[in-house]
Amino acid sequence: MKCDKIQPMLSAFIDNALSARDTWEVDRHLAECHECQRSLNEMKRTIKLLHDISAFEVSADFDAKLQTKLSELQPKPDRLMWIKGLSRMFRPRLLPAWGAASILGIVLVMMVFFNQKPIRTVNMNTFPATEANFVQQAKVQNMAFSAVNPLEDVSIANLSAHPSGQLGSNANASE
Amino acid sequence: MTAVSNADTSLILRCQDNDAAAFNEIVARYKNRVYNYICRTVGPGADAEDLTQETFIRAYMNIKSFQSRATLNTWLFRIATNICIDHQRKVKRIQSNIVPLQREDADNEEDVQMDIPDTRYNPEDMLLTKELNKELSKALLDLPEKLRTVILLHDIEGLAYEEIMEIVDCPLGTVKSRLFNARQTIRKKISHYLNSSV
Ligand SMILES: [Zn+2]
Repeated sequence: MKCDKIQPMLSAFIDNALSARDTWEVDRHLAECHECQRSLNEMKRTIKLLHDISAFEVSADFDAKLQTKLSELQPKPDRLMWIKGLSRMFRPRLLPAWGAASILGIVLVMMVFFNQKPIRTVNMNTFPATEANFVQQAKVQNMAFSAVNPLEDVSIANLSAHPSGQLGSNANASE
Repeated sequence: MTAVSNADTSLILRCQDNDAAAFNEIVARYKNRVYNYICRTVGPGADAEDLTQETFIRAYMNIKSFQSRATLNTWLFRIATNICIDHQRKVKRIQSNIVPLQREDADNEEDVQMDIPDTRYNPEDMLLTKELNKELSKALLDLPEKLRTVILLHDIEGLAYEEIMEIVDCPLGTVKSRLFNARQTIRKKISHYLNSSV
């Protein structure tokens, strides 16, 4: 290869960014071309100088100034805040939690559904065991009723608590 | 490198969860690098500091939409690059309003011609003297914008080719050839230093 083909490759050659084939070509050329060797050395030193060039640093009040500007931005009157809140609740990191919660929900619904089913469609003759359950349940209910106050008439108490009952008595009074 | 970008990723996640301390840490970590880059692009001074602040404000406002595909490094330098380009367009417009028949800046990557000063320097002293520092800085500022961006990001900020491709939105070949042209231009400009110390 000629020098004018090699020279543009020197920059990438220094960065080890040439293909194996091109690297080999450049190496071979450099072994016998003094001019390209000189270019390579000068470019390497240019890069070294750029690397060592002094760096600028921000002034001492940079942070304070930036904080002031940022705090002016802070109170965003965001009318769509609730949408953001909602979308935050569904951000990717929380998706597994939502998945688990919905599976739990489905399981609960199914449990309730399947628990009710035998009660509705129960056949006393085919399920003698459930019959015994019913008897027991009825006993417990009975005990509970009697435990409240055996002397109180429940139906009267309910009637007086009902708004329509009160309304009726008011209407009667005004007449 | 990966350790740094992992730390950066956790900082971004914390920012996205409205953690103000995390953003302050990003500022602390990057302010001087971004400022240095902007100084070398538009020249040091009050403008450069304002543009650096603007970079962090824009980052702050957009941190929620940050894609983890990019690195914080790449993202911040991309914002800074765009801010500098906008700024320089504004400056150019103002200047062209003042002097109506101003010569267009040669943005051509191929034919960048530079005047080489013919002063001679002390051969054994290849340290970065104040003088050489100044001359290098001027050479960088004089580069066409496209060449300067690439050489600043690679040779001064130490970014990889792939990161630069993302920042300037160009294929690898373009990044390589811009870097070569930029280095070659700087090399010619300081050849009196380089020759004198061989
Ligand atoms: Zn040659």
